Amino acid sequence: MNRAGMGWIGRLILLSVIGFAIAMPFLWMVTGSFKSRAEVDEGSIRLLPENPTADNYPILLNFKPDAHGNYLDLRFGRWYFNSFFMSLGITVLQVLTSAMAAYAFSRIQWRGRDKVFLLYLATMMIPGLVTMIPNFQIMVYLGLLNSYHGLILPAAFSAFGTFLLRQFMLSIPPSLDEAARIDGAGHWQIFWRVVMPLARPGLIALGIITFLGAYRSFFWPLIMLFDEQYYPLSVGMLSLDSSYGRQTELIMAATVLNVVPLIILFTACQKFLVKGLQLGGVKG
Amino acid sequence: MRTVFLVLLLASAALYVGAQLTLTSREKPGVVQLRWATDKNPARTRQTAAFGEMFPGAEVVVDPADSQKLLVQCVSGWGPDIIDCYGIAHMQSLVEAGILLDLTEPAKEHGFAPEATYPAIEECLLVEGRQYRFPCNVWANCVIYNRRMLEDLGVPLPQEGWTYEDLVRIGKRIREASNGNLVPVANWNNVWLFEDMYIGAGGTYYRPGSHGLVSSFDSPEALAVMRFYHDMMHVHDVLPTPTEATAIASAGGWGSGGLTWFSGKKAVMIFIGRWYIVQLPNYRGLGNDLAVARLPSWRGRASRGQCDARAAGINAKGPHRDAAVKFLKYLASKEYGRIIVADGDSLPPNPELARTGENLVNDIVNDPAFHRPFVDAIRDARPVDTSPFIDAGLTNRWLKERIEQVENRKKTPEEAMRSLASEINLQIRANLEDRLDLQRKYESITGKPYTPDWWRREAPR
Amino acid sequence: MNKRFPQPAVFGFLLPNFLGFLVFTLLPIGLSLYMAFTNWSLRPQVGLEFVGLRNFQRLLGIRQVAAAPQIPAGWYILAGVVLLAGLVGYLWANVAHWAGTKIGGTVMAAVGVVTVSASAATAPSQGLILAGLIALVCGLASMLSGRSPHVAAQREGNAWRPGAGTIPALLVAAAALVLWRTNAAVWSAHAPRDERFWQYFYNTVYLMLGIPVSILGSLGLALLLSNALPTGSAGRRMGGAALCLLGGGVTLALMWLGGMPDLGVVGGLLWLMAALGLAFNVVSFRTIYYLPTFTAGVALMILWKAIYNTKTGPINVAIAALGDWLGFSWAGPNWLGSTAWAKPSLMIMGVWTAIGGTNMLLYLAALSNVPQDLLDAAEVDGAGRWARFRHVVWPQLAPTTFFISVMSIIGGLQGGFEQARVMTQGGPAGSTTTLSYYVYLKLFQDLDLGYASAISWILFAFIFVATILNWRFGKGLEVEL
Repeated sequence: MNRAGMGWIGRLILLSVIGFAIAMPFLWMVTGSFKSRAEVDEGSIRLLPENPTADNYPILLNFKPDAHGNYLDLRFGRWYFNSFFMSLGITVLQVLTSAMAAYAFSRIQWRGRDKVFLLYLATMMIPGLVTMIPNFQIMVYLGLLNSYHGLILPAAFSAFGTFLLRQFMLSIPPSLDEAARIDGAGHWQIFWRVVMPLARPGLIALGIITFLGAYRSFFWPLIMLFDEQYYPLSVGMLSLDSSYGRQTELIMAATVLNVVPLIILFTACQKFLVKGLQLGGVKG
Repeated sequence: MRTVFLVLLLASAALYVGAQLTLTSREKPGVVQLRWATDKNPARTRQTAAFGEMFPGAEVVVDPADSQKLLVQCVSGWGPDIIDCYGIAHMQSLVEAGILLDLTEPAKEHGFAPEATYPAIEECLLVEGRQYRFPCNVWANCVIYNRRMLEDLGVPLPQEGWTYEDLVRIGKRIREASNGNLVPVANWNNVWLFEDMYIGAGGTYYRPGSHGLVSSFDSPEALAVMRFYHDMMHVHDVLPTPTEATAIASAGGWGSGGLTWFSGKKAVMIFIGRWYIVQLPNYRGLGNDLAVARLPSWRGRASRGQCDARAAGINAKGPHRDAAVKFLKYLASKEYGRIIVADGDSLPPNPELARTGENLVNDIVNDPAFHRPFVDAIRDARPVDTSPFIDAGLTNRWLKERIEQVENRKKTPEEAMRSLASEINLQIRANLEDRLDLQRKYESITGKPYTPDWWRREAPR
Repeated sequence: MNKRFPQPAVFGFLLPNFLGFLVFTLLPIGLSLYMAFTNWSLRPQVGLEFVGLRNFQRLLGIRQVAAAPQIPAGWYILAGVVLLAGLVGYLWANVAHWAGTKIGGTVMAAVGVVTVSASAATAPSQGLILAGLIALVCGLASMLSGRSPHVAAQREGNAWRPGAGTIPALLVAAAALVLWRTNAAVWSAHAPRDERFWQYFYNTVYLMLGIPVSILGSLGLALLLSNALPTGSAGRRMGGAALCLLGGGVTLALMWLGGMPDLGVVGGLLWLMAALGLAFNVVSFRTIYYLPTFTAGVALMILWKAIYNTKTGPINVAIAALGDWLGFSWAGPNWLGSTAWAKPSLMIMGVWTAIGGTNMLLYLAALSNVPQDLLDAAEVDGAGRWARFRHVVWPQLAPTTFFISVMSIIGGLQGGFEQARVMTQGGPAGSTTTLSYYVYLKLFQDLDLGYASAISWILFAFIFVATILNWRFGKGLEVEL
């Protein structure tokens, strides 16, 4: 709008207030993580702790015993590792296989191509709940329950990823392919040298979406894992909630630890995500 | 681009290898390791250490797995070796699912048959006459009350042989004297409270003589007890309403909400077992203020509540069944029983150690008069009954739902109980229709052939 | 098009993905379909049998519990079908601008008012009042919808004359009347075979009511963030930011000295937001608003459970403190513990989480694609801000809105599991159990895989119908443009 003026200050204030409303619980969480149990249970309105204590973090990570003198013995570090490892594995596999399948669906003509793709699309509408139960049975049957393979493999193949990348690849002009083929390149080289670099925004967008989704996944690890060592952070944090006596201050600290790396990761990758979504577009 | 993916793949592979290698299997050579699925109570350390001394060559490790998934875990072959069942309903579910090992023979051989523990809980250990578990501790509730608070408020103390009407009177006096600030009875587990009241009124879950085929939740006793529960909460204000109760329950942990309020002197009375005193060391001086009375009785009846046990069973599919049997033998021993008595973790499985109040004196509370009512309670108590034709976990869930509906005034007490009874009856009917093995059980129990309209023959109410 | 038989290359590229698709998507779907028609159970004693439609009958069926009333149940079911047809037709008629839609809107609004007052007067039921309010809103929307430049003026005039567009609303009114009159008699004589299924379905749908709020909120935020703040040169920006930080510091210090350090921190946070906004412009707000989305999950739920604590959570503590200050004794509601407040609590949390999330980013992307010359042309024509938005921007956003609503419906119908599992365990008296949590309970506590599969397929049927309706509706929007 060409009305320069002080109107934008109002907008700034509004945006700041909304930002405040959204950030407030996080602030409460951070200040709460430095309170002692007695103070948290007291439930006063004080944001800042009266007697701040930095003990909650070491207690959580098993470096110190808690107020009762017991070590928490929660494998927080391991859960962190599991979350990260699982997400990385799923992301890499999914992006790779989806890209390859998208290539097959978009750059190569073959009989029945569109019908098979339609099949992919159709299954995207089936709610995940429907496939959870038989997937569980299959895992039991294959003996993959309670293991890392069971965590990673089912999530490593996604019709959604294939769909997204195919849309991206369709917008890459086929003339580039032909030019490369004239130079004697086969499909594999075309894939790596021509298509993938041009599809980079889509790859990054898919990668970020998949990584975040895998990091936050809860239902499948919950039903699949029985041994604490395999738990990702999302499932592991449940045991904080239910071990004898609620320890709110530790929950706060754990949530902070859970959240901070993602914040850092996201702030760094934010630009790519938006650009990827913009370019991929939601062309219905 | 290719290099990026290659690097990422290699990194993932390296992490995978690292993850697999660092999986700790806590096996030690020469020592059989038994996984015990129980809650992570600090007392377990002592209990497992003593077992290690008694049976070198075997070791028990606590596995605080999610109890909700226990069933599925065991069925898919991942179960622990020793399974804690928190009640008769839990045991029945596990037996139905084929998880618990039949212990009748080993029990006789190694001395942990039902004779080795209290007669009152014998039924709690058996399903159709076969034994499936042995108690880790036994509980029967009494009323622990804060005598100092009652004296300070000028409210009369509970007397021997007091009734539920007396409870209401005392509760009302507490509310008056404290301007409504104190909660008379901390309702920390509404299902157990209801069950205590119901059994005290002579109620059963299934109609006597019906072999578990007809629910008894629409009996006059059930309706009366639920109505009384409702009135205690909404008319006499003796029990906290859901608003008050959420604040109690949200403190989290196993029942610790109501306990915290009682220990924090915001509630005056609590229906609980002897295992409450485990909390006392956290609250200095509280122990001297407390006293115990038997459960109130209904007019014309003796005081009686329910009893049950947190008992251990053995995973029928586990690889270490023989070693696990040793653990149960340990539970029947006096060494283990003494740890339970000393810790205050309810009543020991071995009744020899709990004959009188003096037996149960320990460092936490050394007044025999405190422990005596528990000894009496376990003598008179009775467990709830179950039916082989319906999953007890399911009926418990439905009962809890109905109680919560009454608490939230979604249904009247009578509606809630009648609908509960009819829902249970319908489910029993459906189960019988669906499953051949239940039909055969029906025939062998009742001696009559199974027909789809068998329920019409039962006397309609 | 050169269609050759698939070359080896195709197999090579497709195979890993397709294999995974086969094993982890296609096969389970088939298996699940089969399971839904059997009595598959994890209990060893139960032998696997094909039972046909039994699971579905148990799930959806109605059985008679008392003497049959004068009106057979068939009429009742017919009335339900007519109601549904009327509702669908109403949507269709409005989108396709049939004649008579505004009269239909009046009828619908009247139905809504009658439902609300009748329900409030006799036996207040949250569901009925909600339904009445929705009918009222739909009716008013029909009646008040303004002139769209893409609709011929003649058709617009037709809207107030009786025509095909009134029929659906009349159907709805008739069916509602029949259902109301027969309500007492038929309801008490019949009961659903699985009451819980319907209760949990109601819970699931109820919880989805927050979705339009969060979508509109995302749109609003996107609009606010779509144009950068004209803060001027870097020097001015940084200067402004420094000023804000100073302001924050001053507030903090003042409050601290005044004995209210918390208000100081709160005020400081506000100043910090403004400073960030000045320094980094809209990017900072975008990041902050996106925070809940990608940290969503169990951690945030545990956090919100603590926030909703009736005694120690900040909301209730603040309410009590405010009340104290004003001289009243206020107590905050029993958020997660009362059947009335449990679902609204989850909805509030849901809106907070989603409002600045992916939907906002999608809208931002779509807004940046709105051709500027269209906007300029409209301004030249004298269209004000609101008119510009309604007639230029909103239609351009239609594909995005359609995409978002489809994904939200699919997600919403399957959702609620995490909240139920982590925060409420299904809620007081089953009031926060959604269908997905019901499936989990059936699977893990009752080991009844066949029944759980049947539930999930019914869920799929709902999603399918909702998506088709949405697609038709969305197409209608696009057709008019």
